[in-house]
Amino acid sequence: MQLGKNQRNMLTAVGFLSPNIIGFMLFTAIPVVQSLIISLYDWPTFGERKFIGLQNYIDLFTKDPLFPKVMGNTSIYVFCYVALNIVLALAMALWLTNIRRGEKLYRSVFFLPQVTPIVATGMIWKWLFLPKYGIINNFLGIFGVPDINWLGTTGTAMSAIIIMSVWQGFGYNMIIFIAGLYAIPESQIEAARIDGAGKWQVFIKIKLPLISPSIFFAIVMTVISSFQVFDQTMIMTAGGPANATNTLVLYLYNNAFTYLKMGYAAAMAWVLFAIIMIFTLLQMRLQKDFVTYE
Amino acid sequence: MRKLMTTVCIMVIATGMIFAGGTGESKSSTTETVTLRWLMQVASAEEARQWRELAAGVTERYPDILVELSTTDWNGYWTKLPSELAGGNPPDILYMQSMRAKDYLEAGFLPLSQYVADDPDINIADFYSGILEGLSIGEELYCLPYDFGPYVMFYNQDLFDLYGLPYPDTIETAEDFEELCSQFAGHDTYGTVVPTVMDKLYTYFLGSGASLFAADGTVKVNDSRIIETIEYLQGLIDQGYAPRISDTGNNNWDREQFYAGNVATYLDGPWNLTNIKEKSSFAVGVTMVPPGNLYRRSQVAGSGFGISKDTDYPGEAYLAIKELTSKNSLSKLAGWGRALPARSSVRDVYYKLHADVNGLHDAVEKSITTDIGVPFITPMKWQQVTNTISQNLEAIFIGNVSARKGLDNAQEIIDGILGQ
Amino acid sequence: MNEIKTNRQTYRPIIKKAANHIVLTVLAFIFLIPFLGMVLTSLKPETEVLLLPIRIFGSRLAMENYQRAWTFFPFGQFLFNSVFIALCTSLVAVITSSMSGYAFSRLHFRGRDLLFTMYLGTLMIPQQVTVIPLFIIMRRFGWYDTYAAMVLPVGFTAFGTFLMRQFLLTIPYEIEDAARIDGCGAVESFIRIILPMAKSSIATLLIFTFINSWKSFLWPLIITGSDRVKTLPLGIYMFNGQYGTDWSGLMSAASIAIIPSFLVFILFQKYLVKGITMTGLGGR
Repeated sequence: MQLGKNQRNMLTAVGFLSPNIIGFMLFTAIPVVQSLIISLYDWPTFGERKFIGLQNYIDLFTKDPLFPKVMGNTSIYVFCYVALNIVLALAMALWLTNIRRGEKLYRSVFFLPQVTPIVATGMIWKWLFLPKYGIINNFLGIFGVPDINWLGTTGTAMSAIIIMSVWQGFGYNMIIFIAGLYAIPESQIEAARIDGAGKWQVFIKIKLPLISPSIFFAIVMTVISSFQVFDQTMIMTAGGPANATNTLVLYLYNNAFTYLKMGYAAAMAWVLFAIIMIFTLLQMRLQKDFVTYE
Repeated sequence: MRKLMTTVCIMVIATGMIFAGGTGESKSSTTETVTLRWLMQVASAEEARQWRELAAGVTERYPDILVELSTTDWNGYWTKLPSELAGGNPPDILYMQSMRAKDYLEAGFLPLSQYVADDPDINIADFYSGILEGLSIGEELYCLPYDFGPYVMFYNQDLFDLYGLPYPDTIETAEDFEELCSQFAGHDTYGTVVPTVMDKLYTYFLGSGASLFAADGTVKVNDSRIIETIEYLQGLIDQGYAPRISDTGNNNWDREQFYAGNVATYLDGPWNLTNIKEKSSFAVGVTMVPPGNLYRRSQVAGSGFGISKDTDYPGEAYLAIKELTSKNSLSKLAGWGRALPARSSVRDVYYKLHADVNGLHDAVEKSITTDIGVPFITPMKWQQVTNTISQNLEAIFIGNVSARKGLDNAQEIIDGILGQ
Repeated sequence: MNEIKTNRQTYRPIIKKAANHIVLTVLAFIFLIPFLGMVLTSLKPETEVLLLPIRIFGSRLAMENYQRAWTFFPFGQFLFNSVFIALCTSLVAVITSSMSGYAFSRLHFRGRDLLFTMYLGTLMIPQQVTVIPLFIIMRRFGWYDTYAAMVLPVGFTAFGTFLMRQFLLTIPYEIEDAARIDGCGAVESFIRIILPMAKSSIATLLIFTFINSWKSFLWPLIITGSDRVKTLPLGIYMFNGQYGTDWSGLMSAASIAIIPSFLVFILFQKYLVKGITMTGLGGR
């Protein structure tokens, strides 16, 4: 039997996709769709449930005074964290791929926070941020900065969490960039050098375009994961003081597991989905202009 | 590439082989034996061992009932329990705390009143009535309590000695207490510590004569007497008599301030005494809580065991929790220092164990008398209400808003929550 | 004059190199402070951990913390479970994601981009609302408290698919085209050409999946019952009690728990090196 080219392509694709897609459908897609259904119910985490249509969504936007607050907090976190994380990760990746010796040691050190349990380091960071006794205040004190109760003041708590998160998280993207930079054919860089390009030009003209798929990946993933920030805010402040660090998924978690309002939490999750989706589609749009694929 | 994959495969196979050798699990359950699953929160290996011993006691008493303990940490418990109840087929025996009970009991737990009524030898009157009330909805009882306690004031004897001050047994008014706290200020030490959690502040409100909970299930937090109380506590912080909160992510922040030894007094229940001894290096004394503007009042809370609604073996589970809260079990718990027993007949075991602690017996016994001890019975949706209040109290104690404004704001949100 | 100039030229790179290393070392040290804090706390006696002002060292070396951490929960069992589950998860993820990543990056079929967007979309729903539906599915399968439930739902990952897709997109088409002309089918070119070239990305995915599985807390908490399949994070959180945390015990357990995952990182990061196969083959 002769298959058309399209059919053949389809068949190959099915072959390659099926191992992942079966598990994906079962373990990811079905629960995700179920959460959408749950969001249309007055669905206590356990007990009697009632279909209420879009009421959860309406309540979220009209009745819940905390929702705009957590949205605002989350946006600030995402913006600062993604920017700092990507810039730092890219800078360190470029730096480390350029030194000859000790590069593996350094990247291990910068990656170490990733593998360290956040319950443990979270407490240490709290001690570092402590008013009067903390290292950070003592260091800033040298320059005459007055004592700051970092985690106990509404104005500074979020910055403290962002600092801690960047420390904890940028190693991830650094590794992605290092892998991307190493995939660049040496010959291309050499060719550019011979043409008389300086380091900066090599970076802009050769390296940046060639690792742009990695950068795209890193930004998309970091945006997605930082919109879902949970561990950091849960462990460092539990959303306090006075909701200054209460973020969307923390609030969602509290609704689902502490206030036992699963339906409401699911609605929140789908609003979050919509927001992240818009951002991601925007980035996919932009990638057509900025990301170079082979 | 091949090397990379081979390394992974070898690692998987190697660990898998250890695993294959490791699990020779055989369930030799005969048809008559009933295995009950028991979900419990624990804080140490020792504690888990003690609960297992009580579980073994159940089998000793009822040879065809086997109780299998599974444990989580404290915070994990409150994630795991709702998930288990949501997933169907939850463990048969569950732990429950009086302050969280209302949101769980009706939807997830088996009513016990009938079992208790039909049981001639449980002697329900032996349990402290306030805590039974805390684990009931209306007239229906859902859990049998194992521990309870009134709030008392713990104090750091070494710190009192260091400043040459008499122990705080003679405090008669709120002003006395403030005066006492002022003695410790200014040397990196504090007179007391003020938490922002409602569950720990209720005692202060009771003392002001305010009633936080109305009979119809509503919560009134912007009552003028509560505002006054909060202003009083705010004063303690602003004057440096109590530390300013620096860690809202830690629900034991106030306790850990006390363990560290820089804080002279704090309020807590007798359930924490063993822990204080383990975690601190100073001598600790106990006295009654300081009075508020009007009265000396002490909130009473506790925990117990209940049975999940969907259990296949309600009768056996009842026998099991009855045994877990029997005189025998509770005197063991008291002897280990795990709990002030909910049964009055075995409380002395606990006092004997902690005979070295100044004032414990008198403070606890006086605090649970009916004119001082008030059961802390929370309404439905309490977790969301209490979090709302906490977040506003944080704003007040930091100094971002006045007590009145903060509590008005909290009230508005609470009305929204309870009105839904 | 000339001599000095040459000296300068020879020394400049060395000075630059030294400066590079000094700055990096200082940075690395600052970076390690929280980590050092953890290890130092793990060596303090329990009653001294919370004392203020914070001291760097305790009054003595409290090795009993490590003993407490080791006996607090079945540490060996949990450690083994963590390693085994993380390895299996990584294996499943690497195999399935590299295949699906290949399909999404280098094969053309109808609905590809839509399907891919769907994949991406599921990453945007926080797991806090999907764990309970997933928990119910696992119950139906009878997988409660099993290794299968700990591995499989995590192994089939949209994240891995996305990561592999992005990396595979950067491999020049000419290489594969040349193979296709020689009569290679998609399967053959995937195994013989693409996979060897994707070594560093596979190592990256492996490290990430391993570490994510290693750190995961919420799902293991919900899906396990007995101690049989529990993992280290569940054990470490056990130090968080209702009335306070055993910080020195927790830090000890955490310090031990780092070792295996860090070893995996060290072991596989050696594949994060310059791709040799690529040299000489200029892209477009």
